[in-house]
Amino acid sequence: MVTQMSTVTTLPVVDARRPSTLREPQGRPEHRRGATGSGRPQPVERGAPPWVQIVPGTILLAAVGFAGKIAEQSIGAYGRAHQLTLPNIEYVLWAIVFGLIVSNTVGVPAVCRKGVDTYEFWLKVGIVLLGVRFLLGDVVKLGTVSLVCVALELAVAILVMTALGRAFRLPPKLISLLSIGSSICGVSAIIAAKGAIEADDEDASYAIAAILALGAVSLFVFPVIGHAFGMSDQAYGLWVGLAVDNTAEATAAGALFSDTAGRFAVLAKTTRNATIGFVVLGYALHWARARARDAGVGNKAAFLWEKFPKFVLGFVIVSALATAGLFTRGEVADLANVSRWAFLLTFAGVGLRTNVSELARQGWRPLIVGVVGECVIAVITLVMVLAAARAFS
Amino acid sequence: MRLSLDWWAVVAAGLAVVLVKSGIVSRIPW
Repeated sequence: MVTQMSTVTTLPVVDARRPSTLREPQGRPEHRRGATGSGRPQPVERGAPPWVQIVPGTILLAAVGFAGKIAEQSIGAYGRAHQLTLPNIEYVLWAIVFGLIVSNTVGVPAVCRKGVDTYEFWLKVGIVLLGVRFLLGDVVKLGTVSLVCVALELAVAILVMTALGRAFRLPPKLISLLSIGSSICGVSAIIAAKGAIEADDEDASYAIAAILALGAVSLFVFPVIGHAFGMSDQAYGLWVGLAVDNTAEATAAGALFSDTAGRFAVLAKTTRNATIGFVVLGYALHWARARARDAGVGNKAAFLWEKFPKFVLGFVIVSALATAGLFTRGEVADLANVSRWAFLLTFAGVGLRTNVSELARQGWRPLIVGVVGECVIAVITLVMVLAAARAFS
Repeated sequence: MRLSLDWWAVVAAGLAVVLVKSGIVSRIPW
C-alpha cells in the first residue's frame, strides 16, 4: 500500500521529497537496504498482496513499541512501590532504544522490512489525530502578560537554537527539529515536524533524546532554583511552562513546587502546545520553498502545494474541530489514544530504521547544542518571568 | 488517480474520527 501511494508525481525532483520508504539505501547495507534491494530471497513479496507483505513488519513495530510502553509502566510502578522519585522516561524513548538494539544487532528480517516502512504512515495518522489535544482556545485563558511571555519564548528558543546549531555546523534539518522541540512542546512537536520537513530518522532520534534527557534533569533542578529565587507559585509555574519542553515533565516540575504552580505550568505549556500547528506550518512552508528554489521550478505556487505536507492540514482541521467543541471529553480521550498507538508504531519504526554508526558520525555537537541551548533558554525565560512578576506585583 | 501517503493518512485519521464520533468505537485503552 505504501509503495503504491508514494509513487504519485511527475516532477523529476521528486526523489529529494519522496518518503524515506523509497529512498536509496544509506549507511550500513544490512540496516538500510529496502526490501527489494537486499539481493536476498524475498519469499513474502512474490505473489502476496501488498497488505499481506506489511503484516510481519507491522507486528514487529507493535511488539517493539509495546515493549517500550511496558518498560515505562514498569519503571513507574517500581518507583511508586519503593517510594522512589524516578525520572519518567516515556515509552517514546524506550521504543526507539529497543528498535535501535534490534536493528543494530540482529538486524530487521527481510520479511519485516515492508511492514517496518509503514511507520511513516502511522506517524502522519498520529499527527492528524494529535490535533484533538491542542485547543486553540487554551491560548486565551492565560492572560495577556503570560501570552506575551509565551510569544517571546517561542522567538528566543528558535533564535538561540538556530544560532547555536549554525555555530556548531549541524545539519539544517536537525537545527529545525531542535528549534521546534525547544520552542514548543518537545517530542510532539518533533514528531509533527519530522513528517512536515522530511527530516532523517537519525536527526529525529537525536533531537528527541536530547529533549527528553534535559526534561528529566529539569525535574530535579527547577524546583531548587524556584525556591532559591523565592518565586511565587504563578511566576514559577509560568517559568516551568515556558522552559520545560515536554508536557509530562513540565507538569511534574510544576507540581513538585506546589499545586497552584502545577496548574500554571500546565496552562503555559498548553499554550505553547497550541502554537504547534502554526510553527510546524511555517517550517513546512520554509522547507517546501527551499526545495522549490533548489529545483528551479517555474510555477512555485503549484510546486509548493504539491510539496506541502497535506496531513498538516488534517492536523489543523482536527484541532479546529476540537476547539469548536465538536468532541466530548470521552471522544477526545479516545482519539488521543488512537494517536498514541499510532506513535507507538512510529517510534518503534524510527528505532528500527536508525543506524547507530550514522548517529555516532554526528558526534557530540548536537548534544552540546541541545544542552547549551536549553540552559540559555531557561535563563532568558527566568529573567523574563522575574521581570514580568516585578513589573506587575 | 492514486492518493499520496499524506492523503491516505488524512483519510485514515478521518475514518477514526467518524468511528469514534458515531460511537461505533469507544473506550480505547492506553
